[in-house]
Amino acid sequence: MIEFDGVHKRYAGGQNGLLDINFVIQRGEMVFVTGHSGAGKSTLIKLIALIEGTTRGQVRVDGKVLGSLRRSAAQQHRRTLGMVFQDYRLLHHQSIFDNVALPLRIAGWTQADIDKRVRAVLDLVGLGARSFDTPLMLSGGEQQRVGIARALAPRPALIIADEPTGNLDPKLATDIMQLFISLMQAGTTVVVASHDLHLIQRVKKRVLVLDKGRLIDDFRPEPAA
Amino acid sequence: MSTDTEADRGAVRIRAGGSFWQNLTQRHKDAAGKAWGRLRQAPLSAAFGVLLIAFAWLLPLLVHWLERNLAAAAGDLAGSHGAHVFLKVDQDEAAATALAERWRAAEPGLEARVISRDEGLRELAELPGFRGIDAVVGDNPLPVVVSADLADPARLDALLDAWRQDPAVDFVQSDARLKRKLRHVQEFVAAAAWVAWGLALAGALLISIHLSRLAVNADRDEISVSFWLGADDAHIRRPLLYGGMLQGFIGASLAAILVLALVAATHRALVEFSQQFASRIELLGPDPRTLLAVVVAAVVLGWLGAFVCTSIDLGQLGQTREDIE
Repeated sequence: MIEFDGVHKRYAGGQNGLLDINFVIQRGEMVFVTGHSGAGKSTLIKLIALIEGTTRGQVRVDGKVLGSLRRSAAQQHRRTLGMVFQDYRLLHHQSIFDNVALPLRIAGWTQADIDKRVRAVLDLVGLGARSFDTPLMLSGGEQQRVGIARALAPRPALIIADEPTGNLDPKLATDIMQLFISLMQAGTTVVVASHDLHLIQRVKKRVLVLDKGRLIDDFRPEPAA
Repeated sequence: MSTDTEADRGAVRIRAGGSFWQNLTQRHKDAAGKAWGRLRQAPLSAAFGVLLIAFAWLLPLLVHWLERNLAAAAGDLAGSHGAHVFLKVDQDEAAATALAERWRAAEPGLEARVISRDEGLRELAELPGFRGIDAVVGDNPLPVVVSADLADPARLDALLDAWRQDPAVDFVQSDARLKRKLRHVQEFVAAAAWVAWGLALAGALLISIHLSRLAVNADRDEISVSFWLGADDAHIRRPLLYGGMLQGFIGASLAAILVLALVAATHRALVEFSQQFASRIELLGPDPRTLLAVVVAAVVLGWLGAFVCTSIDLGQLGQTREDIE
C-alpha cells in the first residue's frame, strides 16, 4: 500500500513540485498519474522511488515512512520496486542483456538464474533477438522496452513507470499496458505517470490528476457499457 | 506480448542462490572483472594512471637502492674506529714494535698491531689493480705501518693528533674518520629515503584518489542507475576498490621492474668500467623484501584512495531530501 499524507515537495530553486498531496493506493491496484507537463507527475513517481525526498509530509509504502528510512533500508526499498524511467536510463556501453541483468546482479541472483530470467523478460517485451546489441543500436521505442524489461526482471511487488509509452507506437503502447494489467492481476501494484489521455481512457483504471503540483482529481473511469 | 504469470506474481523475491561464500566469491569476481574491464575500456587513460603511480614509487626505490649500496660500501660501521699510522721509511720493524708498545702502555684498551713491509706488500698485491706487484717489485719500498684501534673514537682522534707530532711518524690515515664521513653520507641518504618514502606514500594515495574520482566520473551514469535500482554502497564501491588495487599493483610492479632494469643496466656498465682497471665492482640490487613491501603498500593505498573517493561520492549520491522549509 502506498500512502501520501500531506506531501509537499519544493525544489532548491524555490519551485514547487507538489503541494499537499493526499491519496492511498492499495496493494495490487493499477493507477495512472496524469497532468500537463510540469504538473508534478515525475516528482510524485520519484518520491515513491526515493529518488527525491519530501519537503514536508510523509510517503508511506507498506507502512514504512520513506523519509525516515536509513540508507541501507532505502536501498532495500528500491530493490523491491521496478522503476521505468522517462529517459530510460540505460547504460549505453553495455549490452541489452547486461542492462536488464543489472537489478538482478544488484539483488545477488546467480548467473544461471540471471540468464534464464533476462531471456524471459526480453522475450516478453519482444527483444529476445537483440540481447547482445547495445542500446544505441535500438530505436527510442525499443530502448523504452529494454527499460521496461529491466523493471520487470526482479519480479517487483511494485512497478512505477514514468511515461513508459512515451516513445512507443499505439499498438506497442497498448501491448505494454496489457502487460502491466497482467502484472496487476497477478498481484503487482502498478503506478504509471502518463500524459496520454487516450491510453488512460482505454485502460480504464484509477486516475490521479495533478495540476501545478496539486491533486485536483482522483477518479476511476466508468467501464464501457 | 504475454506475461509468464508464475514468474511475475509480484511478491518481493530478492534471491541469492548458492551459499554465502559462493555469492561472496561471485560478487568479488564480478567486481574484479568489471575493474579490469574499465581499465581495458580506456587503455590510454589507464596507462597514464599506472605510469603516475610507477613514477611516485620510483624515487624512493632508487634512493633505497643507493642507500643499500652505500651501506655495503661502508661495511660494518658500528664496530670499527681504526687508524693506520705510516712510519718514515728509515724506521724498521723493531722501532715500530717499540712505538706500538709505548702507545699501548700510555693508552689502556688501545689495540696496536705492527704491519711489516712484506705483509704490507702482500696486502697491496691483493687489492684490485695491484695483482702481482709483489713479484715485480725488487726492493720493497713500503713503510712499516702500525694499525691502531680504540673503542672510543673521540679519544682515538686525540691520540692521532699526538702521534702526528712523533718524529718517527710519516703520516696518519684515520680510517675511522673516513668511515664516519661515509656513515654521515649514508645517514643523509637514509633521511632522504624516509622523505622520499613519505612523499611516495602521500603521492600514491593522492593519485589513487584522483584516479578513482576519474573512474567515478566516467561511470557516473552506471553508478547513479545502479543506486536508483537499489544497489548498496558495497556493490557500487567494490569495482572501484578493485580498480584502485589493480592500478596500484600494476604501477608498483612497473616501478620495481624499472628499478631492476636500471640496476641491470648500471651494473653492466660499472662492471665493464671496472674491468678496464683489472678490477671488479659488485652492485647490490634493491632488497626483494622492499620491492614486495612497495607492491603491497601500493595495493593497500589503491584500495584506500578508492575508498576515500567513493565515500565522498556515495555520500553525495545518497542525499535525496532537501530541507528547505
